[in-house]
Amino acid sequence: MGHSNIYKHVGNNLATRRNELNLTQSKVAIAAEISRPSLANIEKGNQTITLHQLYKLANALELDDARKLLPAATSTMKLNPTPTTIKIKTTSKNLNDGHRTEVQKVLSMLGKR
Amino acid sequence: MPKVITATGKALTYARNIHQEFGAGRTPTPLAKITRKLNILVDYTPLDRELSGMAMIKDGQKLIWVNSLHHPNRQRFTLAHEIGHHVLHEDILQQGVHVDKGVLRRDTVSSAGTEQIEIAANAFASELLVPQTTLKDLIDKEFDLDDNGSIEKLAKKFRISTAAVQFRLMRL
Repeated sequence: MGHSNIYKHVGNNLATRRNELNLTQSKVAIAAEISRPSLANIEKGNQTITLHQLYKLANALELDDARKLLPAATSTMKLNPTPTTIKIKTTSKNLNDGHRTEVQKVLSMLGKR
Repeated sequence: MPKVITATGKALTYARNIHQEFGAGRTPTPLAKITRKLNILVDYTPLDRELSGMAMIKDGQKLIWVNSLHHPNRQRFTLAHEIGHHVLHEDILQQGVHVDKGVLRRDTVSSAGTEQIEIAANAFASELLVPQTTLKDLIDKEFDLDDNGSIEKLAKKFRISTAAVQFRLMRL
């Protein structure tokens, strides 16, 4: 359920792109109208980036598409692996196959919130 | 905290302490607040009608699912029962997901052995939803148990099903 990996991923993309362009955190922060410490935290994945900040940062980093900073949907799934190996236990003896399938379905939603 | 508690008396004590600490003696019992204080995440999700709820600890996070297709009052009993599993049976929930079918069915209530944890969770739930002192007070002052409408009135007051009221009155 922890989504912190997404922010680490985005932060990493931001820092990589900034280094490609040889820009300092200060310069990018000014262009994106955020403080330098905020940018530092966003790059480390310690601060939740907002959508408008994402667009401003994409602009400051000369990207035509803000989506380039986002992890691919499939890699997000890998970052939050769905728990398929969770043991199902019940005190009632007769948990039928339909129930088991249903329980698995609910559990598979775990990583996706 | 002991790992797996099956003694009914202990289950009742845990329920009373939690109600006092987080429920502040309120009626109906503020279950949402209690789960928040206990750091349990609750999800209401449609499940087969035979399943009432599930509980699990995953990566240290306590989780509960409640069948959202059941009557709200029944959902409250299910939630209280699953809270009971978290409080009393942490070790079991660490090992995998624990799935509960109709928690208040007579066979669950009366059978022994492997279903001791269900009996304990039911005792916990009924005490959390209807604390002994509150119930005694009400019966002394307002309710005549011989009156036919009293079960319904109690159910309404505590926001539980009449079946849960009857279950509760069994150990008055």
